[in-house]
Amino acid sequence: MKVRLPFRPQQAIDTPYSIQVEGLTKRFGEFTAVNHISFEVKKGEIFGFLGANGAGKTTAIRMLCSLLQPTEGKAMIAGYDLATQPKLIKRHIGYMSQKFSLYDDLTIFENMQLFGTIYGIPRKELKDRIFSRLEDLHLADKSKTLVASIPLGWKQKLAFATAMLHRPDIVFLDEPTSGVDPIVRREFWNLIYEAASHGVTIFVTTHYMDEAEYCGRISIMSHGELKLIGTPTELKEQMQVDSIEKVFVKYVVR
Amino acid sequence: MKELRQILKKEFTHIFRDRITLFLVLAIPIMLVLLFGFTISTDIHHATISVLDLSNDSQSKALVDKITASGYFEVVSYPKSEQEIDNDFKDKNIKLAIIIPSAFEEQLTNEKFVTIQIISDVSDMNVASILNNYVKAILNDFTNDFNGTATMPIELCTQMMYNPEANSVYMFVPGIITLIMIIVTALMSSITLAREVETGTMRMLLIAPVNKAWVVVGKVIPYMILSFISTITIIVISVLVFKMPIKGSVWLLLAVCIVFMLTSASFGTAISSLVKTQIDAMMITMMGLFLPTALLSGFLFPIDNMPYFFQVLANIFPGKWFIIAIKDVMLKGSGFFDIWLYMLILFAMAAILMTVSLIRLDKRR
Amino acid sequence: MRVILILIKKEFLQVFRNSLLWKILLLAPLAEFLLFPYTADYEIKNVHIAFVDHDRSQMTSDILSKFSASQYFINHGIVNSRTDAEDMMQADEIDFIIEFPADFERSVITQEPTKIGITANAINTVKAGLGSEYVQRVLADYLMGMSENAQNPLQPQVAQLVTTNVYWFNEQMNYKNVIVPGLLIILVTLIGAYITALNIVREKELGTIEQVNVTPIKKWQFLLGKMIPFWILGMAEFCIGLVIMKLVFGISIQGSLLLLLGLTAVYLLVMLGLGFFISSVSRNQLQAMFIVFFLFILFVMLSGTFTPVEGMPDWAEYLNYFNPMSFFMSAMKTVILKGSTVDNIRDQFIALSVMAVILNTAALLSYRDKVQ
Repeated sequence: MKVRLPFRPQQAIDTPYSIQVEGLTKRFGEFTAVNHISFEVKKGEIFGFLGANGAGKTTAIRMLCSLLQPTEGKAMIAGYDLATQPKLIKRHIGYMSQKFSLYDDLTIFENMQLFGTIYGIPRKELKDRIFSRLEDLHLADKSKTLVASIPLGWKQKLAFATAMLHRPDIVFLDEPTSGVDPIVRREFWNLIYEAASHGVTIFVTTHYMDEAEYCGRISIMSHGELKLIGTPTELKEQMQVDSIEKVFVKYVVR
Repeated sequence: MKELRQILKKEFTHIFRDRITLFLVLAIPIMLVLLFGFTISTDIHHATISVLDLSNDSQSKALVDKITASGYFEVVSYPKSEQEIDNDFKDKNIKLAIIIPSAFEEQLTNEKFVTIQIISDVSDMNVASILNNYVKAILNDFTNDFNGTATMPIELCTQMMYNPEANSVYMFVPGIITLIMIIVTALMSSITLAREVETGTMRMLLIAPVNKAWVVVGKVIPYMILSFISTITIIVISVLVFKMPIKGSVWLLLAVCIVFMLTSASFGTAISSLVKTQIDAMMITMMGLFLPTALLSGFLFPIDNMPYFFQVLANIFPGKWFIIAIKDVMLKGSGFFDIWLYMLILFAMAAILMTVSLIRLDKRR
Repeated sequence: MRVILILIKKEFLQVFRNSLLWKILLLAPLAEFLLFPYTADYEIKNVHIAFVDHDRSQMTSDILSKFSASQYFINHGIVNSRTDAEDMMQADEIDFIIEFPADFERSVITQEPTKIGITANAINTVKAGLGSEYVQRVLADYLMGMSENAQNPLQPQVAQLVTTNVYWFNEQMNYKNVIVPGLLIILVTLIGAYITALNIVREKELGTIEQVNVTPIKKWQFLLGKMIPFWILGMAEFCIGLVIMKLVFGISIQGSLLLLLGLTAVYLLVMLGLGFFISSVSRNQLQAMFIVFFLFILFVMLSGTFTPVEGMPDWAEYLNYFNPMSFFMSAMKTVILKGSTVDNIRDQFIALSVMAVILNTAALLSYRDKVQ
C-alpha cells in the first residue's frame, strides 16, 4: 500500500526534538493519574507509549494535545510552549482519540471537509487533498457514505486521514488499532510508516505488545509513572528477554 | 437473578458516582412542589386597575375607597378620559378599568338606578372573569350599605366538601405528584436506555448472554426506586407544608404509587425502544407523555370541558387514572374496592407496554 | 467566516439527517396547537348538580327548572336523600348538592328567614368557587324576578347598581386567543433552550467535541456555529406557529409583525445563551435535561400562562424580574392582542437584551475547550 504525503516545507525549530516533556503531572483530587513524567521525542520519530489499561497513557496524551490542563510540569510541542501557546500547538498537531470521534451522522466527505475547513485549508485545495487521501485508502467511491454505516477498520483509517489532513508536524494516536482485525492493524501501521517517512513525528499509545516492535522508541507506563524508555532492542537487552511482551510481563511482575 | 443483580449493581454504581445528577433528581422535585404549592393559586390580589371617576362626589369616592379597601385591586391610575384608558391597558398593563358615570350620587339617590361600566382586558380571560366577579361583589356590598338592606332574603349556607378551606393546593398536589413521577421514572428510564443505545453500549449488553428482560428491568428499577423516594418526599411535603390530608390508607396510597411507577417506567422503556438518541427520547417523552398528561389528566384543566375526542384520548394516558385514584384515597378516603379498577387499568398498561418494548428490543438486536 | 459557515452546515445536516428529530420539530408545533387550545379551557361549564328537596313545592321546582335552563349546569334532578347525594359526589358524578329545607316556599312567602344549603365538591377549588357564584346568580335572578313581579318595576324601592361589561382585546371572549400566543412562546422556549442545552453535552458524551477542541478553532467561532443554526430553526418554528395561529385559529396580529419578529429574535438569543450555558456546565444529557426542565417549569409557572401572576406571593413576583419568559409573554400578548407599539414594550425589550448579553457571555466564558 502506497501513501502519498506531499512534502511539507521544513519548519524552523531550534531543537531536534518535536516533543519535550518535563515533570508533567495530572492529579484528579487524591488520585495521581500521571506522575512527573519526562521524555523527549525527536522529529520524525515513531514513539510508542505502552502501558496497561488505566496506566495514564490517555491522560498524558490529552495533556499534550492541550485537551486537559496539567496540574504541574511543562512541555514544548512542535516548538511551542504548552502553557502559553496552545492555539499554535493545535495548528501543528493531529489527534486521533481512543474512542472514534468523528460525526456518525455526517458522510466521510462531510467529516473531512468540516475539519479541513476548521484548519483553514483553502476550499479548492481541500477538495483535492480529501479525494487524493480517499483514493489512497480506496474509499473514494464511499465518500458519500454516512460514517455510522462503515466498518470499524475504515473508521480508524478515516480518522487517521482526517487527523493528517492539515499536514501536522506531530500526530498523536491514542490506541488507534484497538478492536480492529490483524489485517487492518497491519495496513494501519503501513499508514503510520508512510507518514513518518515524510518527517511527521508519530506519538502512539498501544497495549498490543507486538506493535511496540514497530516503534522507533518505546516507553512503558505503569500507575502514572514512566518506568522504562528506549528502543525495543535496548529494552529487550536490558531485561534479557526476546520480546517486548516479555519485557512488559517481567516488568509488571517485578 | 444473578444477572439482574449484576446489572442493578452496575446501574447503582453509575447513579451514585454521578452525584450531581443524583442531587438534581432528588432536589428538583422538592423545589418544584414547593414552587407549585406556593405560586399556584387562583385567588387574585393586587390586580392593577384604572378608575375613571366622572362624578367625583362623596358617593363615588366612597365606592372607590371600597374597591381599594377590598385588597383585590390596586388602583394604579386615575385617567381623565376614555382615551387614556386605552393607553393604561397597553402601557401599565392594567387588568380592568372602571368608569363611574357623572352625577353618580344624584342618580343613586333619585333615580335609584346607575350603570357602571367595566372594561376588562380579556386577553387573560380567567383573570378577567374572576375580577369581574370581585367587582360585582363589591358593588353589591356597596348598594346593600347604601340601602341598608340585603337584596337576598334567603341565607345561602355553602359547604365545601373534602376541602373545607377551599385550598387550591388540594387540586394541584395530586397533579404535581403525577408529573414529577413521570419526569423521574419515564423520562429517566427512557433517557438512560437511549443513552446506552446512543453510545453503543446497548449492543454489547444485548449481545452478552444475559436475558434481555433483565437488562431492561435492571436499568429501570433504580430509577423507580429514586422516583419512589421522590414521591414519598413530595407526599411528606404536601402533608406537612401544604396540610394535605391522607384520609385513606397510607399503604394503599403507596401501592397506587408503585403501580403508577411501573406504568411510567414501561412508558419510558417503550419510548426508548423507538429511538436512537437521548434528544429524541426526551422530545418524545416531553411531547408525547408529559405534555398530554399535563393537559389531559384533568390536573390543570377540567376534562369534561374538552371536546369529546379529547375526553376519549385522555383515557389512554395513565396520568388521568392515577390522579383520580390518589385524589380519592387522599381526599375522599376511598378504599381498595373503590379504586381497584384504576389500579388494574394502570397495571394493564404497564404489562402491555413492557411486552411490546421487550419484543422491539429483541428485534433491534 | 468560512469556519462558521461549515459549522452551520454541519449542524443543519445533523438535524435533517436525524429524521426523528426533524419530524418532532415539525410535528411538535402542530401537535401542541391542536391539543392545547381545545383542552386548556379554564372556563367552567358543565357543573353537575343535584337537589335534595325536603319541600317539593312549586317554588323549588321552578328553581330546579331555572338550573336546567342555565347553560352552565347539568341537572341531575332530585335525589331521594342527602346520603344518596353524597354518594353521588363521592363517585364524582356531581359537583354540587343544593338542599331545600321543608317549608321553604312558605317561609319565603311569609318572609321568614330560611336557608338553602349548597354543598360543593371543593377538590377542584376553581370549579367550586365559580360554581358557587353561578348557583348564587341563578338563585338571585329567580328571587329578583319574584320581587319584581310583586312590586312595580318602574319604581324600585331600593337603589340598584348594574354593570355593563365591555371586553377589550378579545371581544369574542375566545379562550384560544388567550392560550395560543402563550403556546407559541412555550414552543419557542422548548426549541431554543432544550435542543441547544442537550446539543453540546451530547457532543461531550459522544466524544466528538474532543476532535473539534483539538483544532485551533476559537471559542466564539464554535459557539456562533452552534447558535446560528438553532436560532434559524427557532425563528422558523416561530413563523410556522404564527401561520397556524392565523390560519387555524384566525387570530390576527394587532401590532406590527416586524416588532414581533424582533422580539422573538432577541428572546431566542436569551434562550440559546441559557441552553448553551447549561450545556457547557453539565456533564451529561440527563443533567442538562433536568436543569432545563426545572427552569422551563419555573419560567412557565411564574410567567402566568396558566395561573394569574396576580395570585402569586410577592416573592414570586420579584422572581419574575429574572424570568425571560415573563417579559416575553407580556410583550407578545400585548403586541398580538392589544396592538402595542415599540414604546409600550420598551422595558421588556431592554430586559431581554440585557439577559441575552449576560447569558451569552456566560456561555462563552463557561465553555472550556480544555478540561481542568
